[in-house]
Amino acid sequence: MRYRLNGLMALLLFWPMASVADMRLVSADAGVTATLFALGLGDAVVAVDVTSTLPAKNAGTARIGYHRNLSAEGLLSLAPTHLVGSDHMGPDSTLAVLRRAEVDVVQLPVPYSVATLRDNVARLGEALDETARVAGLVSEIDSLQAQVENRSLAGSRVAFLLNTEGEVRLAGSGTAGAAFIELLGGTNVAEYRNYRSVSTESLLAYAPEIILVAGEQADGAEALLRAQPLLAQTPAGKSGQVVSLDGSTLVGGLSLGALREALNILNSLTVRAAQ
Amino acid sequence: MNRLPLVPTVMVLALLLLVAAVLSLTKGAVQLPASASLAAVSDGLLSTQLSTLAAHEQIIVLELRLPRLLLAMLVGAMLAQCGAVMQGLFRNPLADPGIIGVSSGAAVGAVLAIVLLPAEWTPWAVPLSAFAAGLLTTLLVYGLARSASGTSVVMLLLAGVAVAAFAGAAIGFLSYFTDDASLRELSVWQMGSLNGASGAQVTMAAAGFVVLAVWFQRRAQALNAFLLGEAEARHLGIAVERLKLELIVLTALGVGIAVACSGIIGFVGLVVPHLVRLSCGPDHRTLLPLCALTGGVLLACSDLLARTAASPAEVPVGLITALAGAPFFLVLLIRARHQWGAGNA
Repeated sequence: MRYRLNGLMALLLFWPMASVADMRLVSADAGVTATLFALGLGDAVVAVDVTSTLPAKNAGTARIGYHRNLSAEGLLSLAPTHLVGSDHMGPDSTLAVLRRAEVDVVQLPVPYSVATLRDNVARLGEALDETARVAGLVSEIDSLQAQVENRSLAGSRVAFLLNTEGEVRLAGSGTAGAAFIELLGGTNVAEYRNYRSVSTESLLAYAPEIILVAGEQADGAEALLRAQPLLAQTPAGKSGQVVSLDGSTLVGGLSLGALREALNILNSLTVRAAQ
Repeated sequence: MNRLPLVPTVMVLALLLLVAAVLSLTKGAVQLPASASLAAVSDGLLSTQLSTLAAHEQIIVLELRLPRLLLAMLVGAMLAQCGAVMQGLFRNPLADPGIIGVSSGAAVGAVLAIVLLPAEWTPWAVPLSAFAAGLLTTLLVYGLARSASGTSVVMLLLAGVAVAAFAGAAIGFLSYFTDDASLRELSVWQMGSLNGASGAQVTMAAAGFVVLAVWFQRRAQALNAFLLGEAEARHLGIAVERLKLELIVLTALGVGIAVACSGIIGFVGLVVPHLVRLSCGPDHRTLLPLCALTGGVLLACSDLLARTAASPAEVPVGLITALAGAPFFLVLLIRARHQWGAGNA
């Protein structure tokens, strides 16, 4: 069931793809937003959450704030046909009201593995009646995954550091960082759950062979080494395998961008190892 | 300072409350005709057939705006009354559920319930746990401040500061070791929001408010006697210790319900009683109902701003009350400085 805002207008104007033109999508998750744009459904997206990154030409898209504190009335004012987000979006009362207003609410698990990412894309395709578009994206994911597995790190000890405004946190299990290490085929040096602040000394003790630095700047790795020169004494520092990556590709778990980032990193590591 | 006459003040406040209510029901992210929105409320409450709104538009008015408005008014009224009673009870203008640590204690209780108990229990475990922890904190702070010679104000405030610091650390510690999902739940909850107000919450808040308002009103004379000092109140025939315990339990109940419904909303309990006392005098018989009215108006207006200012997103209402409340409070303090300075000398 779809709630049509401008049924009359849709009839008056010529649309080659009627279903896309009718859709008004709200995305409450960075990963979902990326998937929708990758599927070519970007123009149907009417609003996104605060963590989503948008292409420059869609920069004016409305923002619905934090995905745990969605405003039912705010969302309804956008007259959406679908609200798509992760299992974490809420509050439940807001979702219940939207369902009753005949908005399709689609909740997807946070993808911590490529298999879940692929399932999510497929489920999104079914929910939006866009299975044809999905096939292309799934095969792209498959091909990227095959290339990444080809260059697997084969169990190297990896530390994933999240550098936000000078605070360095090390990713434990159950995080997007750990999922990324697994994608690369590495072993996470941290054995606890979630992200924790760690001292330089404990980082030295973990003796990572590769250090991934996720942050806002492109030169995150260099900046971190300047701020904490002792990290150069880790095996990763000695072999020059401290690498920056774009943290925004991992905000909602793994994404297409994260797969591309993984491939880039593996390629650059191969080059560095050869030098 | 000149005092405002009572009857016109009540009428102005009631009018403000009405305006805030009408605006809250007719304004929002979704543009709906004002008259039809009000008609929908009448349809919902009195089973009339006046509204021309579609079914999903009626949901917006009846299930989103109306419960939020009611919850905002009730929580605002409750917080303001609890603040007034605490200030009277401790004979201290700084006594506020936030400052002497009751809110922090209640927050620790609620956070414990969110983190440690299964998610299905949350709806009733959070208010219960917030109430219990708030009560324990108040009794602890009060116990520390009490001595043979009466309640020490300095001890009260210092104990409150210590409890608030401990509670902050406890919440920080819990959020450090909890999982991602609970953490997200916590971060939203701590900002204070009336988003997602449900019928059950409104019922709970309404029941709490009625009990508190009636009970406090019956103790208004005794609170007036308290202003003279504990010994004087005892000589006037008031069972001082029993009254204190009773009022402490009641304020903990009020704060617990408010914290459980809407998270931590600061400044209402501190600013509103002062505002009313400075403009209408310290007689608790009029102070308490005026506080309820003013608190209701203040929080209803703040929530209206919270949900319309950044639509379609939400601003945490606690930010707005603090942002508006703190400067206002400073102006009041500066204006009243000479008066208070003379009183303390």
